[in-house]
This record gives sequence, C-alpha cells and structure tokens, in this order.
Amino acid sequence: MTQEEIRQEREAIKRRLQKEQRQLVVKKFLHNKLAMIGSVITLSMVILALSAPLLFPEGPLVTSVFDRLSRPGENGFLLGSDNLGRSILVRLLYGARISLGIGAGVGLLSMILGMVLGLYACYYPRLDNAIMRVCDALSAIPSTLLAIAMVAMLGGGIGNLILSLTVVSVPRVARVARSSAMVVKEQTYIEAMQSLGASDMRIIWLHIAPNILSPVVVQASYIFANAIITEAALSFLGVGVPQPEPSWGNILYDGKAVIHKAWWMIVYPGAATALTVLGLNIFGDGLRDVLDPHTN
Amino acid sequence: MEEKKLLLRADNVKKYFPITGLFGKVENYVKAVDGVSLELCKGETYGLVGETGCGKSTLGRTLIHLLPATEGSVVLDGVELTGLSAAESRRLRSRVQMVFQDPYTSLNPRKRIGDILTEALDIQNIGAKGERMDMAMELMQQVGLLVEHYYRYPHELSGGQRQRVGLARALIVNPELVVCDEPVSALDVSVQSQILNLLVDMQKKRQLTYLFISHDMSVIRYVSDRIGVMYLGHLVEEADTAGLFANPLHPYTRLLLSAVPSHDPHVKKQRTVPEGDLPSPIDPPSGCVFHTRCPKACDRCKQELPEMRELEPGHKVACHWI
Amino acid sequence: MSKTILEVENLTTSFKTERGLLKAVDGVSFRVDAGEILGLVGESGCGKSVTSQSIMRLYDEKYLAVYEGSVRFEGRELFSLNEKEMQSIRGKDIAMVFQDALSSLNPVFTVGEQIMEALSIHQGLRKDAAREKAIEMLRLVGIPSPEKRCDAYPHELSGGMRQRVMIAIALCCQPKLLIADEPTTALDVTIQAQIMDLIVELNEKLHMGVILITHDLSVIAETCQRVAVMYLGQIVEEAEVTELFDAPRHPYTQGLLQSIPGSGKTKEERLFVIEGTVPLLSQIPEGCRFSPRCPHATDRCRRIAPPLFAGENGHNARCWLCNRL
Repeated sequence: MTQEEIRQEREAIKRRLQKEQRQLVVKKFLHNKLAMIGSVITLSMVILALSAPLLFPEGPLVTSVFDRLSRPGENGFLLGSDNLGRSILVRLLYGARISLGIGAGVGLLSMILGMVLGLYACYYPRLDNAIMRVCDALSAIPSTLLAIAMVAMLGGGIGNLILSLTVVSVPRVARVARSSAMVVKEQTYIEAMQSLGASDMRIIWLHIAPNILSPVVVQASYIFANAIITEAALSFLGVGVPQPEPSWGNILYDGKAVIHKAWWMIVYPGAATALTVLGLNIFGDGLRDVLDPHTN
Repeated sequence: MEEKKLLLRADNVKKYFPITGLFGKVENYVKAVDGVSLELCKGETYGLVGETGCGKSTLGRTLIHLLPATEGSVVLDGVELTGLSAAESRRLRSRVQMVFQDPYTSLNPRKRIGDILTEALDIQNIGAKGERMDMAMELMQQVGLLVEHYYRYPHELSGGQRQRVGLARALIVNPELVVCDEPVSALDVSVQSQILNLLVDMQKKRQLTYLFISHDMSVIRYVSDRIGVMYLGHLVEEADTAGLFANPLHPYTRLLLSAVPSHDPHVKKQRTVPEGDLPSPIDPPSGCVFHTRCPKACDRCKQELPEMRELEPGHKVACHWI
Repeated sequence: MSKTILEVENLTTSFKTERGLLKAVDGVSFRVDAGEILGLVGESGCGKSVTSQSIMRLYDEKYLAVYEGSVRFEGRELFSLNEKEMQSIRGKDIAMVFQDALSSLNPVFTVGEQIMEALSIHQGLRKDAAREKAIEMLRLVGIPSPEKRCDAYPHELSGGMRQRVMIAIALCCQPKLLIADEPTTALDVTIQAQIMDLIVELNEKLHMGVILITHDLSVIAETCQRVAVMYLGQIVEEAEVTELFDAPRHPYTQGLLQSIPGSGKTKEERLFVIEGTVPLLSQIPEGCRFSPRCPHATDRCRRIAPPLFAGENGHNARCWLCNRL
C-alpha cells in the first residue's frame, strides 16, 4: 500500500466513525423529550424575534392615537394595542429581540467569567479563598437590589444592564464551575497529563474546562432565563431598558397604568416571558442528559 | 550474571503530606513514605507489594518526581531529581512515565484516542506535526489496537482496550522507566493476562525498566525480577523473586504470603493471619512499625527502628530478629 | 444428605430498556444445601450479581426487570409471594453482604444502632435486649472490644472492620441463606483472609447455606464445596471444587484457570490468553455464546447453542465438545 492509500483509508474510517458518533448524539437528543420540547420553544422564540424586522418593517414605535387600547382582533391589531396605539404583537416581537438578547448576553458573559473564576479557584488553592469569598459577598446581596444599584451607578442602557446582570449571576456559575472542576481535577487523567509534563494552562483549558462544560452550560441556560425575568422586573420598575424601546418588562410597565381596562397588555408579555423561561429551563435539564458522554 | 547498569537510586526518600487544621495551620503529617532507599537497574522489573495505605503508590510517584520528596534524594542516571526546576522536571517526563490503575478514569472522556496520544507528543515536542499521527498509529498497532480506535472516544472501548491506550500514552514519549501503578487490578481475569503479556512484550522490545506496584502476589511474582515489600511507609524486605518466595525472612512478608489464597483446592493452607488492622500512618508505632501486629515483637522492637541489612547477596531485610 | 434450602430453576431476569428486553440472566438453575458454600464465578457482566439480586427480588418489577422461572426457598416459591411477605424473608431468612461496606452502611447511625434496627424489624426485640444481642454479634464476627465499637460510626472503622459489621448485620437474625457478593474484593489480602476465614467458620458453626459470588478463582478454591461458572448470563459449568480445578470441561473455565499467573510461572513464559472480550448483552453471539472466543469452536458451535450436559458427580458443562476436551 502506498502512503496515499493508507491516508485515504484512514480518512474513510475517520469519516465513518465521526458520522456514527454524530448520529448517536443526534439520536440521543431526539430521544430526549425534555431537550426537544425545550429547544423547540426556545428556537421558535428566537426565530420569531429574528424575523420581526421582516414581518413588521415599520418597527415597534409607530403610534396610532385613534386606536389606543384596541382589544385583540380590533382595528387590525392581532393582540391588541397599547395606550399609545402601538401594536402589542409588534412590540412583543421587537421586545423579544431585546429581552432574549439581554438574556443571551448575560448567559454567555457570566458563563465565560464564571468558568475562568471557577477554574482558577479550583486549580490554584491560593486564589480559591479570595475568589470564592468575593462570590459569597456578591450573592449575599439580593440580586435585583444589586442590579438596581449598579444600573443607578452606571446609568441606564442595554449594555450597562447586561453588565450589571452579569455581575449578579457570575457567582452562581463560578460556584458550579469550581465544584465540578474539583471533581475533574481529582480524576486520574489529569494526573496523567501532569506526568506527561503538560503545562497548567493546557490542563486547565484543554482538559478540565471541556469536562465541566455541561454543568456550566446548563447553569448558563438557567441564568439566561433568570436574566429575562430580572430584566423584566427592572424595566417594570423603570430602571431597565429605556423607553420607548420595547422589552417585555417595558410593555408590562406600560400596562400597569391601564391594567383594569387592558388585560392584554399584561397577559401577552407575561406569557411570553413565562414560556421562554420555561422553555430554557426544560432545555437546560435535557441538555444535561445529552451532554453526558457516558450515557448511551 | 552480567553486571546490571544502575538506572535510578533512591536514598532515604520521605514523603509527608501535611494535615491542615481550620485556619490552614499544619497540625500533623501523614507519613506516607518514611525513609525508603532502593536501586533500579536498567531493564529490570522491580515489584513493589504491600497493603492499601502502605505508601507504595506514593513512593512510585515520588521516585519519578510526580510528587516532590519531602526529604532524601533520587538520582536518575546521574541527575538529581529533587529540586529540579519546573522546566527541567517537564523535560524529565519523556524519560519517566506512568501507567495508571483505573482505565476508566485515566483517559479524558472528551478526547479521541488519537488526540490523547498525539497530545503527549505535542507536550514533549517530539516529531514534526505531520509525523505524529503515524507515530501514534504505529504504537497503537504494537499494543494491539486497530486503526479505527484512533478516532474513537474512551467510552467506546472496553476496559482492556483502554488499558492498552494508557500504556501507549506512556510509551509514546519513549521513556526508560515506567511506573505501573496496579495496571491490571481493575481488569477481569481473562483481560488481565492479555495486558500482562503486553507489558512483558513491550519491555523486551524497548528495554524498559518497570517499577511494578501491585497488591496481587501472583501478578507481582509473575512479572518481577526483584521485589520490595512495603509496610506503613517502610521497605521491610527486598529480594529477587525466587529468593523472596522460597525464603521470606521478615515476619510481615511471611504473613502476607500465607494470606494469599492458593489456586489449588487440594492445598488447605495453614494460615497465620495477622491480628488487627494497619495502624494509621499519621501516628505510626514507635520503633519497628510492624511491632503492633508482629507475633515476635519484643521490647527492643518497640523502641528501636531496625536497619535494612543485607543477609544474602541481594536479600535485604529490616528486622531485629533475623 | 443435607437439606436443600434454595432451589433456583430456569431463572431468567430481563431488564426493560429502550431497545426492548435485555436478558441479563438466561435460564440459570442451581441449588444450595444447608451448611454448603456454593461459589458463583465469572467476569464482570456475566450476570452473577444479577442472579443474586433476582433471588432477593431486589429489582423493581414494574419498571425495571422481568423475572421468569422459579426460586424456591425451603419449598416456598419466592416469585409468588407479595412484597410484604418478601420483606419478611429479606434480611431475616436470606441475608446479603455486599462488596462496598462503606456505602452499604448509613454514615449517620452508629454501628450498634444499625444492627439493633435489623433486630427490631425482624425479631421485635426491645432496646436493651437488642443492644446486648448486637454486642454479641460483633463479638461473633471477631471485632475486638465490641462494647466500645458498638457506639462507633462507620467512618471510624477500617475497611475490614466495616465488612465484619456488614456480616454481623446480615447474620443477626440467623438467616438460613447468606449471599455474599464480592465480600472481599475491596479489601487487602490479609483482611480478605480474615473475612473468608470468618465466613467459613460461621458457615460451619451456624449451618447455613452460603452463596459466594466472586471473580477470584483462588477465593473459590479455598472456601467453596461446589462452584458454578457463569458466562454471559448462563451457567457454563458446575462441579465440585476439586473436580473443576483438576479437570475443567468447558473451554472458558479452562481458559480462566490457565490465564492466572500461577505459582512459579515467570515472565519468560507467556500467559494463556482468552482472545477478545466479553460481548455486550445486546450483542449476544449466535450458537454457543462463547464460540467467538473459543479456540476449539466448530461450525456446529457457531450455529446451535449447546445445552448443559450432565456429567458424573454433578459435573455439568455447556459445551458440545465437553467430553472430548
């Protein structure tokens, strides 16, 4: 056999096995009802949010003073209109972009930061106490209060909102990351890497990190969900996403004033929030099972 | 007998693990290894036996500087290992390697077998990038793995196959000394013999030196040229394999050998089972550490630690009685 | 002849999985007499532990497992008892000792309390009487100063001591049958010797039947009178201990015995190897289950599964060639 033939044979085996392994993961995912339901809910929310500018190019700020507080179905408003005559449906979809965006941003940021903190706290006992006590201190303050304080300090705006919500959520991820990393660190394969002379960086990022990813991702999906709720709460309190930009919390805030005549301003954004959070939580639970490499 | 070349010499090696109290204050020490001296010759298998907690695994790790020794010196081929810098000790890793007990936890579950092997080459900077795959494939074939295993994940392999991977990972950097820490005790009987044969084959092919740690007497007896018996952090007896089994001198060795069940149902052994359990290595007995369980213990044993003495050529024992 | 206390006939245990029923134990039959130690050997996945757990009906029958065949304990069919009746047999008439003594003991209760609990459930003893009995049991299993150890928590004891406590709990209601599932696997040889001696001694003293499950042939050689070798859910050979070790009739047993690094063998001689590995339960080979790994396998072996051929002195083997090998 020539070099070329050997190479081709290996490629063929590699492709066959990778296909098998992919199929197994896909099959596991499809078999997992939780993960499926969760991801369908979450994905449809994301798709709806992304397609908002295509469906309603006029944007969420168009007012129509004569059609204020239309009932659902009235005057061409599918889900009714608000006190300025803006379509609730359009505002919900555009609001989803902001709410989901904030959620995803907070989830991702706190995942990255939490993992860094957790991994270093686990691997370097000297840092452990310092990092974890700061985390304890942060989680001792009620998270909404802390977020309000930070927004008040930094000023409003979506960027600052993400930042302050991240600060609130990081301790949770860090703690999960640290405790998972503690377990992984004691595994023999880490010692095997040390006995091969691997550097600390390599061990932390190439060997411990991938093995704590699943609990951390699961935690991040909960934080995603939580951030949507907290954002809604902050916007409802008037310190979140600045008006007239729509977010689910904002719509609720507007609805508060007219709650006795326009139930639709409360029910629809509330339902959207609840459904998304539920979807994300279910998704997280399912993900935990799917990501485990040991179960087949 | 030809003169064997010395590969590693350990002198009075100690390894204490601190026990810290509430505020990080060191309250006491676990004396895992307490003054062990031994020599390993090139190409031999040195078997290390003892019960759980006797410090044999810790000694193995200390000898290859995976754990820094608390006291004493370890010299590998003229190089003093204690006090090596981080970079130097990293380079040392291509000369000394380790095979671990549990084939299930010793491989990273998220890495393919091929990546596990080529990463070892990458760390030690061996071979050009393009060659590493071929090097791994060749070694995999030598240890009885197939080409397709290169692309498999550890959980897709059986216990025996994983242990082959563990051996391949150790051998791929071309070490001279391999510490085998109970490499077959987690395996089924029929797989055990496959791996033992493989270990012996690879030793012959590559002139490897093994430090073979096990609690299984029949395995140790099969693979070892020389055997050291450990008890509570001390080496109590050392001899070549035939000598140790024919003429065990230390009372502990005798007890250990008599406790091993025989494979012959016709032989009903007269056992002298040691009384009680292993004392704690945090607060080991004074004098000879074995005196609490020794049938012959006297006052002198309780006060004075016996020295290792060579009674016959190559047969050393640490006991006041002999 | 001794009284037979346990008769297992054609026991089949299948697990309910996503891909359908998976037979972990397939048509196992054996019996245990009072005062006898029966060894059950095999490698991991051969179904030896499943067999013992099935005798106790420990698997959930609604969601997990399906039992077939019959298990008669002193003439009573266990599979036709209801859960309550079964509970009165478990721990009282049939007791079990597991491999992992640390996780089998509850860490928040003292050793004495755990023995006393077993006593109060099955014998309804009052507290002081139970405590006295507990101390007596600890003394029986060779624990020094039992009055003191009675108040110790499991983590304060060594591995060997914990296994002794497990045996004390198992024996406190004077069971007629003791199932010891790898009782010494996690222990050192010196402790293993102590525990095995204890089991043999108690077996003689209390005249109970013992099923000893292990993967270690030497433990079997030292303690058992009869042995059954299991492979992939079936008994492939059974015989008196001396017969089995002197003249094994099944190629699997022969292979197992030869692959042990026996006395006096050095590394200059290669060890005997049974090729391949134990297949998964979901991929049981056609014909004789051992045929893909068997050095003697013929076409017939690969097509038709052999029955368990009866031999002299109850030396049975599940092999077409057993009379010629």
